[in-house]
Amino acid sequence: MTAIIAWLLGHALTAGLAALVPGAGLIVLALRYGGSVLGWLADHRQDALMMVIAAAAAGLYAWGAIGRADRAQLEAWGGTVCASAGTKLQPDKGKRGEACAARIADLAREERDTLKVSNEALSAAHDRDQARALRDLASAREDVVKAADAARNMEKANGAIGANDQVGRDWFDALNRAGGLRPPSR
Amino acid sequence: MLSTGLAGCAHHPANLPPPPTAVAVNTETQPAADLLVCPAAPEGFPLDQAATMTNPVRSAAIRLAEAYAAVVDQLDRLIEWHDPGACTPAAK
Repeated sequence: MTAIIAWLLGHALTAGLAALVPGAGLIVLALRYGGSVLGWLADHRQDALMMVIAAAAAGLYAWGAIGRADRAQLEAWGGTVCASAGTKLQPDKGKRGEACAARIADLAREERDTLKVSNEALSAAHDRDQARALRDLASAREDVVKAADAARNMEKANGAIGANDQVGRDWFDALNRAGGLRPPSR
Repeated sequence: MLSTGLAGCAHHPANLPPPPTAVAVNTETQPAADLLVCPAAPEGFPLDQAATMTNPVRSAAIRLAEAYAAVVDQLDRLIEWHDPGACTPAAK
């Protein structure tokens, strides 16, 4: 029993330390062998091999742990994304991620479509309003010119009325034009 | 795992119906149809008649006629704002 503990302390502990904590292992090695590492290697070929294997195993384990952590994180992220889209990463039936991916694609399509239709509607409304404003402006200009003409004509006819205040054909015709009235039948 | 917990808590059905197709609806309101009827000009004063009218009376008649024309023009524009071309001379 004592021999096993001594062997463990002397060899396995050194090798393990060197594998898991390279710095500490090297310090232990340096303390024990006073820097003559090559000499130690010649004497302890098996120990050295064990250290290399232990280091490789520890490396693989660490690599695997990182991979597993990444995977768990991605899965959690996928779950969050699918839940925000109103579905599940792993549905009760069906392939994992399939329904979720389809749902997200649907939502993206809806967003694209909505934006497209909104833009078209806004653009059409803008065009319609602009055409309407231009048409109204042209109409207003026409009205102003017509009213000014009629007013001038009316002023002229009114100025031609003598001191007897008699109005006749010309004055009535001008008044009908000023008021935009239909020409009388007689 | 967090994802398992989330999946367990989620009460959403796995397969939702696809979102509806986007549709644009014109919500512009249109005045009642009878408000969009263009005013018809009444027949004017007979040209074969004569009258005696003092200047204040003539001025009042002119003011009335011009105000009537202005109101008709404005109403035509308002109607055409909603119904383009409804009150153009050809349509009158």
